[in-house]
Amino acid sequence: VPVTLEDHKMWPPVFVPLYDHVPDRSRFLDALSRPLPTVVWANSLRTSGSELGEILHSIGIHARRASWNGDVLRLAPGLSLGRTFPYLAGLMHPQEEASILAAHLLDVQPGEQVLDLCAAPGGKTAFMASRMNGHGSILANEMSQARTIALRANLDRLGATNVTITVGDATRLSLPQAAFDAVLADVPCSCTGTVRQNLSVCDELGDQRLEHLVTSQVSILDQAIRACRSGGRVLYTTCSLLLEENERVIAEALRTHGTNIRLRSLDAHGITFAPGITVWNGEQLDQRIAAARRLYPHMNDTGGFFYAMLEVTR
Amino acid sequence: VKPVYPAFEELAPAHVVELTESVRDRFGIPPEVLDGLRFFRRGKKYLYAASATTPLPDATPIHAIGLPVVRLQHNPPKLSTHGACLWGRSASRNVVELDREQMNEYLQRRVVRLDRVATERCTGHGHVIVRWEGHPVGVGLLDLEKQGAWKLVSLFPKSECVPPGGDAFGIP
Repeated sequence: VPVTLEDHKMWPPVFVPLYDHVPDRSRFLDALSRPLPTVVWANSLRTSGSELGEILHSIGIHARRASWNGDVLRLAPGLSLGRTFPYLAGLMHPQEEASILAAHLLDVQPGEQVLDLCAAPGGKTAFMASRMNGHGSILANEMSQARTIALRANLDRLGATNVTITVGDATRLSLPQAAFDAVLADVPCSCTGTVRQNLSVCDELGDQRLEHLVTSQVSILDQAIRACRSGGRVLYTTCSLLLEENERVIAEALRTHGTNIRLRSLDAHGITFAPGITVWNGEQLDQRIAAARRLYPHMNDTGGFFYAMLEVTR
Repeated sequence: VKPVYPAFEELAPAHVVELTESVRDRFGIPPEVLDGLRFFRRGKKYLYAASATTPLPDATPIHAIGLPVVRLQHNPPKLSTHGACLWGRSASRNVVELDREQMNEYLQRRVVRLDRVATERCTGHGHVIVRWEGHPVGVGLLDLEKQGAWKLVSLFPKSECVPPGGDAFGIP
């Protein structure tokens, strides 16, 4: 389908700079106007994807297992599951697929020491806890004390026994250095990737706010790298599609930490990613950033997300 | 920096065995469930079970450790909703299996009338673990009605309960 200037004008202004970078862009706007599928993951501390699928089927909810993780189930859009038995019994957790994918990609293992720097509302933390099956630990930090209510409620409902919650500003925590095997830096961001859930999210972003966010993001990623042991990994993620919050933050980390970090490629079976952007309006960014991954909403019928896996090599 | 929360106190294993004895005895929960867990207390309200501790940042308040499994203010201590969900699969007595209709009543915090079959693994009046198809969801209080029939008083948390007329097994 040829893309016309008219199409360009219809894009939310915040996405216009991405116009030349979005693959198969004629489908981009269409995806933004469609509701997201409801997605849940089965809590492997208590059930399995197949058993949860059967329970949901008995309720009259059709579920399809995701190709990249059999415990992740795709349901119809618009379901509100918070007062269903599987939810109340902690058998499942509803979460946007791109967000579950972040926790999946970090690939935490039982016995590991894991740091989740910006944990609330806790979906990714709980997903990782379920993978660890009570072995190893997660330090889940959250800056906002108010948001720890949801974090704790989710972890308690899902039966996570290996999580310790702290309340602190992730940019300024006095963290133990080189102590963690895996670190998730799911940083506060503009949330422009969540535009399918909240159309107004793109209207609320000013230059000053973006600048403030980027400063925090750079600082949190720096903290994450310093807290990670040699040979460990840091997953930097945002639910933003903006270059400033994604590739530019990774570029800054590569500048600061030099050969002490390297980008690892990421893959998930059945998921189509776009590579990190390395050329922007004629400007060459660090070519290694191509190993980062962008998830545009129309590519897999999800929200928009950015993932970059850094291996600490110092 | 002054901690926002008072420090958590880790309890010695012998103390944990003592604190959880009445709960484990009531529900026939094997002592092995305590294996691999460490127990903490903050104030006098809950006993928290944690399967691991973690390296901590300096001068940062700890908001929570592990899962609140036993409510200590009761005498004897009472299994919490989260404790029931954690240990309820390994409980061998004082467990009631509800059908969908009964479970909806329980989740709406209504009184559930139970027949003899539903109470056959119960030893009598007191707390019971509530399950559906083997999946525990919380705690109730088993009580005898004047007519000699058993009733289950729902202790499901108010903040989580299903609204009147709602269906936890229906398409939402």
